[in-house]
Amino acid sequence: MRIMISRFQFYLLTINFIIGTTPFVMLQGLIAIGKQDAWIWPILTGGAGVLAGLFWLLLFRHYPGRSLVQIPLEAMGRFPGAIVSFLFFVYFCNLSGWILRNLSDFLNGTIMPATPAIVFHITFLLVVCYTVAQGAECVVRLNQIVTPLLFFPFWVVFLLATVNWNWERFEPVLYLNPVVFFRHPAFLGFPFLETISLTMLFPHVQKGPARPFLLGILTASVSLSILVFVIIGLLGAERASQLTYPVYTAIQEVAIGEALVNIHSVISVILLVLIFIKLLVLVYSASETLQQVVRPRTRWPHFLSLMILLTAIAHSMYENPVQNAQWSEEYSICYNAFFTIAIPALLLAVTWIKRAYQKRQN
Amino acid sequence: MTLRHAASLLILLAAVPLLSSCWDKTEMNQLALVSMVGVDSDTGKGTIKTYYQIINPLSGSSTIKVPGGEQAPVYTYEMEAKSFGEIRSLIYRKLPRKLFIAHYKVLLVSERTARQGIRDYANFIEMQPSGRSSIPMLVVDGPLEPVMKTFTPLERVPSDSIQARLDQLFQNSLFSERNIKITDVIERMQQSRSIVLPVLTRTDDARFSNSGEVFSDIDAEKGGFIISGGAVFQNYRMTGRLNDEQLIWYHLLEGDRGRHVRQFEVEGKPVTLEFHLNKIRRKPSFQSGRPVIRISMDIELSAAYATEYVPKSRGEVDKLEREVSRAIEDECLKLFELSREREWDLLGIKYLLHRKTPDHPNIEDAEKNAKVSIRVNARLKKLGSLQQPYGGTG
Repeated sequence: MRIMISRFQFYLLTINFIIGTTPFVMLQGLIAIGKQDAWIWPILTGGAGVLAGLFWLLLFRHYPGRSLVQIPLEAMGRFPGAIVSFLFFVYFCNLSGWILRNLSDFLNGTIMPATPAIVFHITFLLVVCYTVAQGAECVVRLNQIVTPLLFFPFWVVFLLATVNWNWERFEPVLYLNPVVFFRHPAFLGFPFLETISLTMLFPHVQKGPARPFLLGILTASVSLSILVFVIIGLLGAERASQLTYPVYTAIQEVAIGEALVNIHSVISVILLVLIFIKLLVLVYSASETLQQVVRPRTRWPHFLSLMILLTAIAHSMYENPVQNAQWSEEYSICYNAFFTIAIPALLLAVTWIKRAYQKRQN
Repeated sequence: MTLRHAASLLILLAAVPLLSSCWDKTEMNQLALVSMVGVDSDTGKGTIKTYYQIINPLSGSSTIKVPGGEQAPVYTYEMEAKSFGEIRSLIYRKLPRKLFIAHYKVLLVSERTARQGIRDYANFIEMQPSGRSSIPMLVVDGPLEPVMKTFTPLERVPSDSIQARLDQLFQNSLFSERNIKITDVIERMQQSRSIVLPVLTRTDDARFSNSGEVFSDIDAEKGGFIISGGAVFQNYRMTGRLNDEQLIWYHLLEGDRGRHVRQFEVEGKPVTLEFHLNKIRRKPSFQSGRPVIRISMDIELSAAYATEYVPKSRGEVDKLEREVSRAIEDECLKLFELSREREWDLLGIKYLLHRKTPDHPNIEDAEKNAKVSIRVNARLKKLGSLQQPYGGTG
């Protein structure tokens, strides 16, 4: 049975994957740097994301019907290829662990301060592994079903929040020197370079993944830009740049009459589901890597060990948010670029050399 | 296949107990719902005093009658500590329930604390995940303790009374505005602007701490407090006060749209008019390097309460409009002079210049030199149910 993913499904998955954890971890730092003009930046980084996407597509054109981890096996041979594929596995696992940790940090920091973080990790992983075990189709269909349930409540809640809107907060408009952004390259890497995990689904997309993938990146960058814009309009750059979770606080401050004062729980649930979708893709990528590289007969032991591994990674990813912030700011761009630019470039170089060599042989 | 179904069912069932968030479960009657917080400080001892007014769940419509009168609608707890954070542990020596401040409605700050600075408390609220900073903040004239221990008639819970009064004032006068929340204070202070917060003043020294006494006395004002005057804040510190008259013009220049009724003088005779703002424009420009701020306001007048005089002809209407416009312009300019003299920048000129001319090298100086011209265009639009007041026969 062939796995079939429609273009539209893949488009939606790309958008939700990119938005994923971004509202938690990126907005505050971005607004701290860009102040009232920070909303431009997601569009620019989205452009960089499209360039990265084009680069990956260039690699995939040489290997139609292959996934990201099958390419090294084919390009470099069984043993060296397996090492490169394993590097991707490490990347997917680290990202998953990181996302789980962001999630438990958020829940501990807002609505459930007393619950141990490991409970969130395990419950999420249980559901994620169950979904991933059902296959790629299950992942994309789930995403397709929940997308309208995320989109409409999210923006309706923000529409209700517009009572706190103030246009003055955007002035002076476009005053910032864009060079400031380039001094903080972290935002170039996150979240767009992480979309390389979506390439694991490329072979299953009907009629080619290129167009929905690139359009998805563009749509997501515009959505993020609108989100930053709305946050600045609601909170002002001064407060949004200091709060840990500006999206949450912006909604927390909305009171509709006397009775409805707790609509931020809506936002919490939406953000949880978005993270869940991102985690789904990453765990799918990690488990598919194992499946395609070692080809086991039964898969459940792999899921069990993945769960244990990811819980441990999430637990030991960083000790406190200060470490996390410093890592994101200073090192994450190099880390991301190594896995998403350097290794694919290596693969592309190997492919070209191999093709040139074969041509001369003939 | 059956095995697979059974396994998946088992996994799902295993997830269920974990989803119930047992660790954070709190029952309603384990919570102490705070309705109002008061913040005071003792400079001598260097300590902070916080008052929590906690709603009594047994009061209200389903009051259980106890001998000796009604149950109090709220109880006030008083805590003294070195910092705001410490209170969170110390309070449980007195309080049998979990302190729940996410739904409090009003924050009161004593004047001496306000003059020392409120930045610590603003930070404390914003740092807590459950802290709610979108609530109004008021300054209390004189000691805080009697205000925190005073019941209010009609609205049984004092915080409801204050909040409702602020709402009424916002709609029916220019004594109050919407942007007096802690979030507004923080934003304005971070933008190095000034903000004016309402002041609570006690009407007399009588004290009722027994709710039965208050609710059965006909004199609603005895031992109560009123909202009157404004406290000017700069850099998280209270630096001065405005009286009620100055507050009207401050709020008008801020762009508030409350319908205020005030007695004006037209040709030496008093006329009571209701007015409200339709539109305000602030335009900065530069004349030989000196900034000129042009503020123009469109104001709508109503003679619905003008028992003294209602204009009869177009000429008389024009004259009334002109004189009222002039009066408002003068009052606004007077407020501007006062604000410049005390370096308050109540009109937000610095912020306006910062937004409109961000490239200006020295906005501080530009603000001090700025020329301000205020132009008011008042238009009479409405009359009451009488075309002319009854003149009598004398």
